[in-house]
Amino acid sequence: MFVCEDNGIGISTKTPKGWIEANFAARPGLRYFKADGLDFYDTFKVAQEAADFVRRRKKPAVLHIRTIRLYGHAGADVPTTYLSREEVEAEEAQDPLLHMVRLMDQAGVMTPAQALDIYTETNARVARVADEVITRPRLKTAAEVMASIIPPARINRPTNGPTPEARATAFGADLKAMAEPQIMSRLINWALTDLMLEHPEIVMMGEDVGRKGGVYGVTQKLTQRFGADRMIDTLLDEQTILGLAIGMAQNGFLPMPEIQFLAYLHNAEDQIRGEAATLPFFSNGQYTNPMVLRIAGLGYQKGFGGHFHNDNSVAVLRDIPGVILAVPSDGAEAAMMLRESVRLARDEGRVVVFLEPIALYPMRDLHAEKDGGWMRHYPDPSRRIGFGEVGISGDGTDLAIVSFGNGIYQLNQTNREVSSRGFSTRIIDARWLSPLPKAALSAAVQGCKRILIVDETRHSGGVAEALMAHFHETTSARLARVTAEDSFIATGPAYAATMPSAESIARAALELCR
Amino acid sequence: MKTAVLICPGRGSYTKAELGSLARFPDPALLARFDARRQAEGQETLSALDGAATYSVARHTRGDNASALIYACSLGDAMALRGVKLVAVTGNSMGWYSALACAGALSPEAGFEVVNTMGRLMQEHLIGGQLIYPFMGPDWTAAPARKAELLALAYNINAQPGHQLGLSIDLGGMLVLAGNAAGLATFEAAVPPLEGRFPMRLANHAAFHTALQAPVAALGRKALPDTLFTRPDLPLIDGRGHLWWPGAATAAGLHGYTLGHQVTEPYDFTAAIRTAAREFAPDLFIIAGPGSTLGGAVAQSLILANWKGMASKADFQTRQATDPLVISMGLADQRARVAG
Repeated sequence: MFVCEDNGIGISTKTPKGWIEANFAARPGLRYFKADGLDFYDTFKVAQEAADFVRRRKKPAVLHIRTIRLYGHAGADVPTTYLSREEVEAEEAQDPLLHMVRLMDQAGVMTPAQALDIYTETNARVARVADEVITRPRLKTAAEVMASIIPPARINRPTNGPTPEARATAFGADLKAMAEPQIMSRLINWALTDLMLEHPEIVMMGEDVGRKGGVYGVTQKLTQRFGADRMIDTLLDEQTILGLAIGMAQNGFLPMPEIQFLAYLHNAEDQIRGEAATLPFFSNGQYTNPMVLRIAGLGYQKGFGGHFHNDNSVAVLRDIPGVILAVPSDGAEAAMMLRESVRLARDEGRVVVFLEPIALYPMRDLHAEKDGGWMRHYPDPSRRIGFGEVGISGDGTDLAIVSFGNGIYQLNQTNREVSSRGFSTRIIDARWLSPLPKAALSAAVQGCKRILIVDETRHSGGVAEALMAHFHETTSARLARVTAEDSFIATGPAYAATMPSAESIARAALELCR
Repeated sequence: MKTAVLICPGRGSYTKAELGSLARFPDPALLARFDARRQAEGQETLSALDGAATYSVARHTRGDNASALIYACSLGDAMALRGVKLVAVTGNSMGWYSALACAGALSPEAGFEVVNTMGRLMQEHLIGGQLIYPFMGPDWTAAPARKAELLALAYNINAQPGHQLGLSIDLGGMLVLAGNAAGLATFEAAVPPLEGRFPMRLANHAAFHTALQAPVAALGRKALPDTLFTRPDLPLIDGRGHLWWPGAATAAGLHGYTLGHQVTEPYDFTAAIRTAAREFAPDLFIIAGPGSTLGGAVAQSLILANWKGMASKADFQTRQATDPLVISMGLADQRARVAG
C-alpha cells in the first residue's frame, strides 16, 4: 500500500490542483483510494478499505490522504514569505486535532474538556520522556558515525545443501559438461544454479532474465530449473528492478537483481546510493537489505552498442559507503567471487555489486584462434575467493602490473612480449574495486621496483586514480598508468579506440621499464 | 506530585512473610464480598488463608488459593497509594489480572471473578510445570549471548520426542521456562546449578503462558464473558509490552488478549517494563505487594532498557541509595513513601 500524505505544498511550491489524483486514479493494476485527513471517520474507513483490499486481493493500492500543513515546512521556514497571511491563517484554522475534537463532541463520545485533558496529559508525558531522551549519548567522532555503515553479521540456520540427486536433476546434461573448460557466461550460469539450489531464498529479477535467459544467455534455463517466481522478468524500469530487490531483501529474501547494461544503471542508482546503502547506516543496523546486484558492463564489445551498451565508468558505485564492488576477469574466478558475494550478503548483510565484463562472457581464446586459453573449468561449489583477496600470477619484481576485468585478459595477451625483453613481471588482479583491498595490494607488490596500473575506466574519476594514490602513499616504486580516455565509447570499428589495448599496455610497460 | 507506574506481581509472590497482609486491606466490606464469593464456591476464605497461624506451601501456593490472595493484596496496595500520580499500570503474569482491576478495566468484583476462576481452572488442570533460571550474572549486566544460548537449548530440548519446553516468562535477567516433566527435567540436567538454588522448580505452578494451557484458555473464555471488562481509567501495559489506552481499549479486545494470548503465549515482562519506562518516564516504579520478589526483575528490565544510563546492579543500587526509582510496597520503609 503506497500512502501519500498530501498537504498540497512542497516547501514553497504548491502542487497543481488535482495533479496527484489525476496521476494515480486510473493507473492500470493500481487501485486508488482517497480520504480526507480532516475527517477522521473518513480516513479510518478508507484506510481500512485500502488495507483490506491489499491484504485480500494481494494487489497494490494507493491511499491518498488530504492533509494540511501547520507551522510551515520546518523550523526556519516563514510561510508568509510565499503565501498570503490569509492563506496561512486559513490552514491553521483547519487543525485536524480540533476537527477530531469537534466530531467526537458531536458524537457524544468525549467533551472538549475531556479531549483537553488527554492533550495536556500527553504533553506532560512527552515532556517527561524528552527529559530522559536528552540525556542519551550522542554520536561524536567519525568512527562513531561510521560504525553503522556496515550492518552487524547475522547467523543463518545451517543447511546440508542440495542432495547430489537434486543437483543432477537441476543441471541435467550440463553436469557432464563440467568436465570440460567453459566460457565465463556458462560458468556464471552454473554458479547461479548451485547458489539457487543451496539457498531457496535467492530470487532473481531483471529484464529478460527469465524466459529469454538473459541477453547474453547468462541466466538461461534458470526459469526451468527454479520457476518463474524465482526468475522474475521485470518491465523495462531499473528503478523497479532495484526497488523490488530492496523490498524483497527487507523481507528475508536474498535478491540477485540484474541490470542488463551498466549504462542503464544511472537512472536508478539512487535506489542503491540513497536507499539500499543508507538503510543500515541510519537504522544503526536494525534494518538491512542485503543483495547481490549483477551488472553486465565495461567495454570492448567488438563494435556493438556504442555508449548505450558500453559504459566504462564505475565511479558512481565506488563512492557509495558500504557498497562492495567486485569485478571478475575469468569464468572460474567469476564463479568463486559470486559465491563470496552471496556469502557477504547472506552472512554480513552487505550490498554487493558484481560487475561482469560483457566482452569476456564469450571469450574462448587468448593468444591464437582455438587455443581456448581463456576458458576455465567449473570450480567445485565449495571453493570461494575471499573478499579482499587479490590474484597474483608471476613473481617477477621488475614490474608489477595491477589491473582488473578486461585488463587482466589483455595483460595475459601481452605478458610474453614484456617478459621476452628480459623484464620479470607479475600480474595482479585487484578483483575487488570497492573498498580497495589495500592491504592485499600492498602485499602483492612487495619488492617490485615498478608498478603499472592498467585501467579500462576513464582517466578522470577512474580506478587508476585510487590505485596510484595508494601506491604513491605506501611504496617507493616508480608508478605509471594506462587508462581509458575521458570519452564515451563509440559504436562500430572505433569501439576500442578510446580504451587501453594490448599494444598500448605493452608500450607503457616497456616505457616504464626503460 | 511524583508520577508512577504500578506493577502487580504474579504467582509466587505470597510467601510466608506475607501472612497477615490483608489485615491492612483498605476496604473491609470489599474483602468481605470476596470472602462471600469464596464461601459460595466452597473455597477457604482469603481472611482465613491470610490469617492462618502457619504458612503451608500446599495450601497457600496452590493456584486456587494463591491467585485470589495475591490479587487481593495487590488491589489493596493500589487503593492505599497516597501522594503519587499513577500514569500507567502493568503486571507480571497473573499480575495482569490485578493490573486490569487496578486500572479500572475490571471492577474489583469482576477482577476477583476472573482471578479466582482462572486460578481454579489452572489448579484443576495443572498441565505441566515451570522453572526459573537466570541468564544475567550477579552483576546484572546485559548477557544477550547467554540468553540466546539458553533459549536455543530449550528449543532443542523441545524438539526431542516426548519433550515439551518453551519460554514462559521473559523476566528481566531470568528465564521462566515451562513444559512437561521430561522437558523440565532435561533442562535441569543440562544447565550448571547457580547460587545454590537454580534451576528452581516452582511448586504448584503449571506450564503458564504456553500452548499447553489452550484447554484452560478455552474454559476461561466460556466461563468469563467480555461484559466483565470495561474501558480502563488508566493506560495498561500488557505482557507483550503493548499499550492499552483508556480511550481506545475495548472490552472485547481486553477480553480476547487476557483469555487468549496472555494464557497461551510467553509473557514478556521485560518488554512491559521497557514500555513503562520509555513511554511514560515515571518518577517511580511501584511494585504492589504481596512481597518484594519482583524487585530484581524490575531493576534488571530497566537495565536492559538502558534506562537512566543504568548498566549494572551497581548502577541501580547507587540510584536506589540516592533517589529510589523502584518502590516495593512489600517493604515497610519503601511502602511508607507512597502509601497511607
